[in-house]
Parts: sequence; C-alpha cells; structure tokens
Amino acid sequence: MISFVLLTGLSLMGPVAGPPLAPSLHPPRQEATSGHSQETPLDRYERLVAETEAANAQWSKSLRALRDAEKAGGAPVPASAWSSPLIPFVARFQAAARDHVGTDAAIPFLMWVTQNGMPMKGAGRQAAKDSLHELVTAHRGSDRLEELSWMLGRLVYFFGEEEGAAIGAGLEKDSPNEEVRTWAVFSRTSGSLENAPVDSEAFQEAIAELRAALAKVDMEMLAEEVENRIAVREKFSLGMVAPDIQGLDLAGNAFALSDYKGKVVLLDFWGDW
Amino acid sequence: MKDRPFALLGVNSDDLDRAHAAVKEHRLNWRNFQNRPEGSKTKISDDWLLNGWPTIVVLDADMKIRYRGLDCHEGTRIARELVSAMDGGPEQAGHSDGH
Repeated sequence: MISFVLLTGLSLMGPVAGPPLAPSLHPPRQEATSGHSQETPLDRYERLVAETEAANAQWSKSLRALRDAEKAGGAPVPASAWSSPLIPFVARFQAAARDHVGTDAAIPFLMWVTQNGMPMKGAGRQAAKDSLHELVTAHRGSDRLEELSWMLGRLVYFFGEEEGAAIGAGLEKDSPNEEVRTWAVFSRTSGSLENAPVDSEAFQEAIAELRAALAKVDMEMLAEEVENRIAVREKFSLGMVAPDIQGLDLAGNAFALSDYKGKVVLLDFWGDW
Repeated sequence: MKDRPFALLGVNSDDLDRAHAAVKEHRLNWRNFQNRPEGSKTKISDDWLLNGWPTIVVLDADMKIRYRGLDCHEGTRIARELVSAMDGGPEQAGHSDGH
C-alpha cells in the first residue's frame, strides 16, 4: 500500500519557487581587479558568467549521456551527477563581491550568489542568505533589488522577526523602487495576514495596507496571491466550518463530505504525478 | 484507525483512468472525490481555494477546520489527537488505516 508520506510528500508550489538565474544588469566599468590586470568589474562578471554557462552546458551534456546509458541498460545515474555545476562558482562570485565591498560594483556579484545559491543546500544557501543580507542592507537604495522579488517578501523568514522587520523598514524608507517597497510592506504584514484572527484589527489593517500598496504598482501576481490569501483566511481559517462537498467518487457514486460529520476527517487533495 | 471515529478521504486531481490506475497500483482503500467530474464546470480545489498540491485539511466532528496546509505529518498528528480526544483513549500504534 502506498504510504501516506509518499502520497503527500511532494509539493508543486513550495514556499521557495526558483528565482530567475543570471542578473540582467552589469556593474559599471571601474578599476582593474586582481588576477587579470586590465580586467574591470564588468569584464570579471562577464567572464565568470561565461564560465558558468560553459559549465552548465558541459554538465547537461554529461548528464544526458549518463541518462541515455541508464535507459540502455547501463548503470544508474549516480546521485553526484545531479549536483549543480554552479556550486564551485559561489565562492568565486563571493570573492569578487568582497573585492568591491561597499560599492555598486559588488551588486551584480551579490545578485548572482543570492539568486543562484538560494536553491542550493548547505554552504550555497548560506552564501545566498549572506549576500541577500548585504544587498538589502548595504545596497538597499539599489534599483536592482527589484529582481529579488519574492525573497524581499520573506525577510522575516530569512533573518528572523526582529532583524527582518528592521531590514524591511529600511527598504520601505530608503528604496527608490516602488516594487521593492511593496515587497517590504508584504514582508511586514504577512505575519498578520497569515496568523491574526480574521475579525481582528491587525488582520484588517494588514489587508488595508497591502491593498493600498498594491494599488500603486503593477504587480499582478503578488496582488493575486494576496487576494487568495485573504480569501483563504476569510473562508478556511482554523475553527471555521468547512464548506460541504457534494461530489462523485471514482466509481461515479454521489457522496458528500457531510456524510462523515461526527467523525474526524483527514481530507487529502492529491494526484498521481 | 479502524473502528474509531475517523475517515480518510481524498480529492483526486487526475483523469479517471489515471486515478483508477493509481488506486490499483498503490492499493488505496479510501474514498476519493473526483476533483472535477466530467461535465462539471467547477473544481473542488478551486472552491476550496487551494494554492498547493498536495494539501491536507483536517476537520473535527463538527466539520470545523483544525488544520489546513502542506505538512502531512502535522495534519496526521492533529487528526490523531482529535480522534484520541473523542474516544477517550490513547492512540493505538499500528492500527492506522492507510497511513
């Protein structure tokens, strides 16, 4: 029999969807950097990105060959073959960011580490969090923070309640970018949106603030997510009576959720993916 | 949790052929709603504002929501607590039905 854990262990929409990969903007052409005497920050960034692209291409090719061999009856693809080829680059982008610490030239390197390290585990993810922290504090006036999108809405998750709130307040105050400020509002209010009682002042204030902030910007996906969360809270909060389901079972027989009133019901929304 | 005040129900998102195959392959013994039966204009998952699959919802005997989320372990834990509270006895290990 399939285990319940197996049946319900996969999520298609986890809290951390993958961010876009390489940043689209580049550092200003400034001073030369170590190792390549005439290399500007932009040159260095472009060289590193080119190396990541080559490593990615080689990795894809090797993995395809291993998978083809497995399909042809050969050895299974080893787990190590799935390891991201970008992992070794994290330290190199971090080093480049350190070489330009405190200047705008560091931003693209920090962006790369943040966006590419976040889906990794262990050191890669920690590096991403460190880079995100530097971006949202030392570079909070940068217009490029907009590219971090969903990460800005989870400052409390990344940095804890107190520091996350302080960072968000800094972004709301100092960012020239309306979308960044809106993400910061989302970050600040999401706790009340998720946890405050629906009839509480805190919940209603959070809704009002979010809707006011979203009315100023064209952020359709975030607006939809917020409205969905509000609707879920208003209809499916803990303690509320669930709406009945009148449906058909897999044999086509009609039955209702309310047929089971009087029992504890565990309702599992699932599929055979 | 046979003979206890508990029911495990599913809402399946697959087409019927695939759903039947999954039930057979995995020997599932609990009742499932079709998420959108043929001819229906609406999905249960839309009515229930689902924003992730799989989602677990736990209801008490009065159909009040006691858990809604993606964590099957937490949902199972809460369901077991509710059942134990209802029948006044401690959870009986090894008597799970389909878990």
